[in-house]
Amino acid sequence: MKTNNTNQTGQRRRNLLPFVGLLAALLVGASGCATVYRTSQGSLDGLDYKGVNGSPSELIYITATGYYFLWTLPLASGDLRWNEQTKSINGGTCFFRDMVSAADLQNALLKFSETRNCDVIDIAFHDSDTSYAGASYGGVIGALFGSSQIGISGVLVPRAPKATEGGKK
Amino acid sequence: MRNIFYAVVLLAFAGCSSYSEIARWNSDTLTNDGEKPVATFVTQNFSYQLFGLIPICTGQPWTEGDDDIMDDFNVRFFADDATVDNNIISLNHALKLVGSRRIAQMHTTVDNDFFWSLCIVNRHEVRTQCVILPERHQQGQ
Repeated sequence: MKTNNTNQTGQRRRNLLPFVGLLAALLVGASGCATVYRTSQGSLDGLDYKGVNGSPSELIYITATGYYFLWTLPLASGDLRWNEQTKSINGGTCFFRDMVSAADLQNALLKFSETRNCDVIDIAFHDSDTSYAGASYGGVIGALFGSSQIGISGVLVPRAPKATEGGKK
Repeated sequence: MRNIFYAVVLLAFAGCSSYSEIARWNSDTLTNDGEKPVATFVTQNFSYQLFGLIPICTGQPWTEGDDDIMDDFNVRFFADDATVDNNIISLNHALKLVGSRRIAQMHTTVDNDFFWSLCIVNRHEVRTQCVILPERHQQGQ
């Protein structure tokens, strides 16, 4: 009798697992699918970067993730919103729209660098796709869902002050 | 459920560390900018966060040791040291070991992976790499 009860409790817990996963996935979605990672002010001081006069000002990585049903229907995706007050990028989430593209990330990086009067060197894209077949029993439900993540990395270099007419100050 | 919990804990302990390596350029082969590098450098640091919000444990940046490789089990709990800034701290230590502060082709990537743990624990990984070039006064020697 006791063994029966234990089995039933175990079964109930197993049944709850997909819901725990779904709840966690919603939390992940709500916490933002687009993020900007940057070095803090002065952390690159003292580096002698090839082709740069002085040190670069920032190393930056911007990433956005899209979640899809059957790889075609967007469920949620990262949304890079420009914050005019802080002159920075806010990572957000939008639902049922696909905002993940190399062009969006590149535009965000360029706007960010222009606002800081910087050029960008050593740009590199990074992308990865994930299928969630392993995240469900038997793999059937999970296989319906997939995500795609794109990131862009760049080094910001402060622009040299422009010389006045004729190169005279 | 208990097995999943143990698996999560074991994986977090096993994988939650940082790794840095200086790969010396033992060749006369030049890179695309016509220079012979001293070495290439790569560092990666991991952290695990409950629901992507609460830090569980993390690897730490490379700040000591004379070897060209750091693959120690140096974990800190309830903290998140996997940041781009900390990778720059590891880079500075590597530059000290190599004896040059001149670099090129620096890239960084950040990966977040929730789905190895049914969306419960986020595995956060920050990688940074670059090419270390000889100092200007060492060029042509």
